Amino acid sequence: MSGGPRRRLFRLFDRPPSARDAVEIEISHHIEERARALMEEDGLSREQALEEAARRFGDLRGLRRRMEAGENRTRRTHRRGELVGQTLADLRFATRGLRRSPGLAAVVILTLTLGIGLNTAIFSVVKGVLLDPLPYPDADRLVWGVGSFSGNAQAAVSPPDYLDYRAGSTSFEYLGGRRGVGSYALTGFEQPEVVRGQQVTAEFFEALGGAPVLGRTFARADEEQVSRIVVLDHAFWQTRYGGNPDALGRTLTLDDESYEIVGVMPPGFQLFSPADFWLPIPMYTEGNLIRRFHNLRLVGKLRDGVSLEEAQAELDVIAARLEREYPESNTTWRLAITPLRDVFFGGVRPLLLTLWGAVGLVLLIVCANIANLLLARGAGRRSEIAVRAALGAGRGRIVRLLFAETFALAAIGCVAGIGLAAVTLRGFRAIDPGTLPRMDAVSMDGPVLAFGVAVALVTGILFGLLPALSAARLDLNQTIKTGGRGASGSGRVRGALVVAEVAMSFVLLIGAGLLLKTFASLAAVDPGFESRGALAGHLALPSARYETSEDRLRFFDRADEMLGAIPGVEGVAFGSILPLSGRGNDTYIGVPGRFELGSDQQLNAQFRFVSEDYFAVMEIPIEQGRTFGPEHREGGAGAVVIDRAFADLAFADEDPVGRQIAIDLGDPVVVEVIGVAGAVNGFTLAAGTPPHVYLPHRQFASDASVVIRTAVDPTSILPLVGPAIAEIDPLQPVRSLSTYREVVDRGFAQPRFQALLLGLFAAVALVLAVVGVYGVLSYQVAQRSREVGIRIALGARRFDVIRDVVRGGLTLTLAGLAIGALAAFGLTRFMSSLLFGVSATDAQTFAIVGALLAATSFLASYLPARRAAAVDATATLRQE
Amino acid sequence: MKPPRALEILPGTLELLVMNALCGREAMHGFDILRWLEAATDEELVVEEGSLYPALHRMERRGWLEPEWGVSERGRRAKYYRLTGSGRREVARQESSWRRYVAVVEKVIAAGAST
Repeated sequence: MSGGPRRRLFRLFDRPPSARDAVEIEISHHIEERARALMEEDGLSREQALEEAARRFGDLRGLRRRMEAGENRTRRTHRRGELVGQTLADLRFATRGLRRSPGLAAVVILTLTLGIGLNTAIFSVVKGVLLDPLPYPDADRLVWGVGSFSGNAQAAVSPPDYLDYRAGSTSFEYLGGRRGVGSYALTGFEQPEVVRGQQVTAEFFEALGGAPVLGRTFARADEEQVSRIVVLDHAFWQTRYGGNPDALGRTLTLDDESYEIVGVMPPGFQLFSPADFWLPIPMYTEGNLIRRFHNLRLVGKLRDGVSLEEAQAELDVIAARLEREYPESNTTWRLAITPLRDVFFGGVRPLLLTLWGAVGLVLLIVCANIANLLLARGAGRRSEIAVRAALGAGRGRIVRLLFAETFALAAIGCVAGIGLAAVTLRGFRAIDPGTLPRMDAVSMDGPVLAFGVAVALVTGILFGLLPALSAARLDLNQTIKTGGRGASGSGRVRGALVVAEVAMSFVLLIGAGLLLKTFASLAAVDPGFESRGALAGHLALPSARYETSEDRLRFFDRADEMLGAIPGVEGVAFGSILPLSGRGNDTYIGVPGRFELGSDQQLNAQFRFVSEDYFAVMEIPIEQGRTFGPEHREGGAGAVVIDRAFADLAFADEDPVGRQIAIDLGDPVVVEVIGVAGAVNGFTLAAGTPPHVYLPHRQFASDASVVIRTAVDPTSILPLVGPAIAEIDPLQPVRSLSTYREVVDRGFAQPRFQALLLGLFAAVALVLAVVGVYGVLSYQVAQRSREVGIRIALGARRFDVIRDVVRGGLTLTLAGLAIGALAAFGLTRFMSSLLFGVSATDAQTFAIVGALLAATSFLASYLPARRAAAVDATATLRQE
Repeated sequence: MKPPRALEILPGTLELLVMNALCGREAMHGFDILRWLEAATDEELVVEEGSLYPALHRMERRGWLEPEWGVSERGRRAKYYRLTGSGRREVARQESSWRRYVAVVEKVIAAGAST
């Protein structure tokens, strides 16, 4: 039995041989030993013994091969293990190093977290909202069709025109139409309820690729007469019928009419505003045969291989034919198609891209800050690194150590950043007023996480490693001689980084400032009526219960009485559509002898039916003439009140009262102007004051919205309105009832949302930039404390020292401001569609933001300057 | 005199035998291990070179054995093996399962004989 290896004596041999040699040595050693044993014990000759020893191995060549492969495998596993071990050691070293300067580590990690978090959050929204495909099959072939004429490129399409386009075009696999989602009174369940229904044509479902899960959708035959059938939304089917298939064939009572349920759509089948059910449009009833009544918007699926341009060209040919055939209704009208995707996201794309750009800038500032901090740290560690190098650490080893440090920072920042992104996303959902479509589909999925990690890698490693490398590339002798204060070019680099930070913050602050001013401008808009102290709701009277206009008028008179009797109510009025409700209804108007109806001179205006008290209750001033009286009833004298905007348009400087105008309500109705009311905002606050004409509600008793002016807090009256109406008709709900203030506030939601977000990002950027300025100056002051000490010892005044340092800071800031102003000038026009009442290059905003930045960076420079001036001259000089 | 017929090694037990050879001893090279096993079993067990070395390498890869390059008594380079901590744990594990196995087999044999 032999003892262990005599390794201590022969350390040189300790190094393992190559895999091939290792196997060879092992086997031949064995054969040798075996042969020796055979010679000694069995008395074989050396040749015989060697032969026998080899024989015992069997297939020696095959064994060698297998052992070599095994050996190689073993070594690979081993090397990997060693690398992991070394890396872990590096990381341990890195965390130890970071723990020695916890302040720096905290600032870097916090900065990284902010940059990664905000970018990942915004990316998740951008991806979910803009990049993910629309939830329809072949979504890239879907188009949106709107009517377009000389006066409006976003109008609707009339039903007869739609039928002609559908019949005449070959570009579409399907071409369907739909009206807006409307509210219906649902009865037959426990209590009357308002539900949302949408009228659609045949091919609407097919175009969107929605096959019913149950029953059928609408065929062309359903359009030929009034078909009382309905297709249900999946969720509605689930909640009302428990998902029971026997709902098919049952009836649904909507606005007192019975509809047979013929189909159920799959979950998630919706387009824009969600509907509870869909109804077919009877295309050949009287009201739907008028080419001047535009009330459809189309959704089409292009045939495979047909381009949007080809389809548009074909539609234009049809439009030209219709224009020849029906010049009085179709002059300049055409059907304009755009990709459905653009319609879905057209509104939010500028907002999202602006936000993305904003967080991108924040990230760049983060990078600059980190680079700055680590450059400073690298410079501060010159002596440490030099000592390591002198003790024999190779350049590679030093870089690996520094890399490990950066990696540790980036890893922590990445995890924290993704956590912050999740929180930010939740916050987004909480404050998003419905501005962003598909927000519910936004999530932190794989690609979003990958994006976050990529951002972390790029920022952390690129901007952390480069300064580290620059610190590693140093001249040993010089560094050790100067005690680590080796002069370097990094001072200039750091200055440039601060300039960049200030410039980028400037751009962000300008963006935020412009959005803030937009918000303020909107809030300052006078809508032309008083929304405070009023309630608004809508009363849609089903024609089954209210057949004649007498029935309707009786209802409205009773409603006026009942609502007016509620204590605290000052006045009640009715109007077909209320201002800022987001809805509108326009028609052509002629002024005899000037703008003839039917000519291309005819005017276009919003028309409303309003009750006698409407102007008083809305607090819209009557500027000239008078309003309607009880004499303006059906069969009475034709009278109209026009508003200031229409008066200016139609009569310029002349007195309109007593003049006649012709209003196209299917047939031209000639009426006399009896008064001029103040102009009001139409659809939205930002959309200005379109011309309006008002006709007496008593004469054209239509469905109407109700306005209630209260002397007390309107919310206290709110719960009393429904019961008051129920006393007249228990089956009649009041729709969309709220304070008028809420209606107006809805218009502020998006401006507030975007100003809030960009303001937040800009604030982050400002803080980071200030930290950057402060950091650079503090570092400079620390580096120059010796020089300052000497100057003070030589009699320099402390004020001069302060001035010098502050001047250094302000120089950087002013350079940043100049560059930032140029950049902002070029960039803000990309967000002009988000702005209202302020130009993208608003001088006031630029001035205020510039002053703000200058002031904050003055502060950021003053603090280190004061520290410099407080330098104790003798102490600094004695230090070395 | 050698016994007329040596025993074949049961599959799966070679590792246990090898590790026992190394248990509590200095590092050994392959030939030593082989000789130790032959001596310990009075040459009743035949360990083939063709299976010993692959088994050694396998155990090395699993971390039960640790290789060591050194010089033998006769001044030749040789690869030595030493039992590692996880190797010692493995020996204990394999031993106890071997004992259970033998006990069960004997129980079965006894049961078979009594019927």
